[in-house]
Amino acid sequence: MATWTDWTTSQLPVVLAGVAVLAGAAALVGCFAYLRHRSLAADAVAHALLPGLCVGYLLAGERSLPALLAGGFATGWLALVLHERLTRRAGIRPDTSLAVLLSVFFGAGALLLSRIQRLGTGTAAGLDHFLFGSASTLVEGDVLLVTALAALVVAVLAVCWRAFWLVSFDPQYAQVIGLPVRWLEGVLALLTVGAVVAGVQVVGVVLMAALLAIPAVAARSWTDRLGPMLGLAAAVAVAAGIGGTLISAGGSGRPTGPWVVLVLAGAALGSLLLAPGRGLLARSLRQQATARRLQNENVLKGFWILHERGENRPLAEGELAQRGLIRQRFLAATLRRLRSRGWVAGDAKGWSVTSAGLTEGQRIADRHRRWERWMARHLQLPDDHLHDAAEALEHLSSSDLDDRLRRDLDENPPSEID
Amino acid sequence: MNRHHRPAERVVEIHDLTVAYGRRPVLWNIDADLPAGQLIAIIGPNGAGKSTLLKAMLGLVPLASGYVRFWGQPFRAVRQRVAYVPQRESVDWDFPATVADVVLMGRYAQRSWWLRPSAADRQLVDRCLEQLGLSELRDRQIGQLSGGQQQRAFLARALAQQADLYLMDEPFAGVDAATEARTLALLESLRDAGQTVVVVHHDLHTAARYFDWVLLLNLRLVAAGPVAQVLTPDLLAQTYGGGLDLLHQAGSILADDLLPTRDPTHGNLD
Repeated sequence: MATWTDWTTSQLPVVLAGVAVLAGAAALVGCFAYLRHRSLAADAVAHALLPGLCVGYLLAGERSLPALLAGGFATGWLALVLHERLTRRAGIRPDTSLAVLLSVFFGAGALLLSRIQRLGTGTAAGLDHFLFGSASTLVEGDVLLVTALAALVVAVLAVCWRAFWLVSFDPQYAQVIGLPVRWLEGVLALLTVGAVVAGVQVVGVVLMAALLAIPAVAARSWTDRLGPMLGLAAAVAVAAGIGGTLISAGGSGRPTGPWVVLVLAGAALGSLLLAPGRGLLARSLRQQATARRLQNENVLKGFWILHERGENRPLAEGELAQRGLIRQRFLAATLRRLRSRGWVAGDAKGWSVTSAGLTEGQRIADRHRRWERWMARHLQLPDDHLHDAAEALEHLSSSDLDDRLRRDLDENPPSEID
Repeated sequence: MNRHHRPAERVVEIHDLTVAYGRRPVLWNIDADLPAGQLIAIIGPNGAGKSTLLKAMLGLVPLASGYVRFWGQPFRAVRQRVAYVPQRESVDWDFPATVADVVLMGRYAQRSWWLRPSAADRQLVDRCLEQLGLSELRDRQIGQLSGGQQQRAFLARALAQQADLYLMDEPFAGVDAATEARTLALLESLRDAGQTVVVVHHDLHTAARYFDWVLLLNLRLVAAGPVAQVLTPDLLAQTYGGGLDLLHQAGSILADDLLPTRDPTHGNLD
């Protein structure tokens, strides 16, 4: 298990800068992994870094960051190549291939790590920090390295994002119109491994995939355009990186990586709940609004039918429920809503419909009957099948559809009017 | 609809084309010439290799033998003149792109992918959207479209390529009547402008009405030619009837025994 080095205050600006830059770059790369359904592959790559880091250490004979990262890059890349071979040549399904590669590489890394620790130098070398990351080990040189890597990632994206977007959406089409698809996919894979390598010191091989996947998920729920999605993902990641680092710096000796991941997860959860359009809250509000509209329309239609039957006296809630306007538990609230719109009048003693309410109810009832006639004519449905379908169709409020329905029925007037 | 009786220029030459997935051959020794300025259908039962033939023509699947030439040249030399409409199911429609974005992708067939689209590109995109009745949906996310509208977005993207030859994989599959009518009108206007359209088609009933020229395909080419000559009971029976069990079995054995689809060691005795 990793041990967490205590913070010293003078380190904080360096660590903050490093984590923020790294999280932003990883988020940008992660958006394309997300769009190409490759987030799990990025996770496998991150885990596959571990044996390479250990080999890098053994070969260099000391904790030299460039040697470690070069080793990690090599095994991470190897895992991606093997994944491609296993899925394309050996016919193994992607999820299985990734599960196998992730655990085999990580297992090999764990073996090497325990061997290094038995040499008695491993803990001192801080290799175990690479499991869960330790931002506090970042020094200025590391931050420069990470920033350079991140700048490279942004530069490549600035030039290639249109091509990446095409390839992510429809690779075969991209190939047909002449994009260098294999080359572009290779660059994307390089960027992914590069981002993982750059981030592994801060969040560790186990948590790295979160930095790639979660900002994309959060950003996607707010926008349907790629440009804003990339910007939002990077912004969320930078903010979470800074927030997570500050939290972990506040309680001394707490791990940075896990805090960053948890803050990110909170941002993503908030986005999934609160985003307009795709958010769960917005969807549920839309559903409730629709449900209330249906209840309103059903009650008004009921009043119209009672009016047609000559029942015009005010009716108490119990009587209205008895006549089956809508389910009783919705009745009271619906009547109050209709009263506030001026469509019904009355109180608990008795409710009656206003003339505006009658017009509204007639509109729904007419539409219901038109649909019944239309279905009887065009679908040759037996009579007992018509009503239930019309109960749903009567609520479709499209004036275009209404016009077509009317035209259709007027062109072929029914032989008997019901 | 067979108004083009004079012998037409040859747009595509398919010569001895064999395609194998893994080692199992799915198309055997196809020879066909496709004439210019025609609406051409590729027709055959499920699993006949119709989509594979399109993909093989476009270099998306490797050839086990043979070659394909467009205007006498290999595909990569003339790819700017060829537009492809893949099957609608081939992409994830929950993708952050609007209808106009997707159509704009077609412009990258004619321009470098690292450049911004120009004002002329955007005007052309607007015209293509208009032509397929998508103008009002231009800023919709593509996942919010109906199946027929998605299919039209793909057609508009191909149209934005301003190609001379259009290869379309099942553009009529699972679309509403309005989309079907609009698609057919588009194909006819392309043909009337002198372009060539090749369509993988599954519906025998509409084939004779919609197309000028037909390829009947079932693992091998059964027949190719003007609709009236090819859509005959006899040839259709050959295409849709059995009789190919032998070829299927041979393909399976080739796959099972890891034999090469083409024998690289054979001599030239014949």
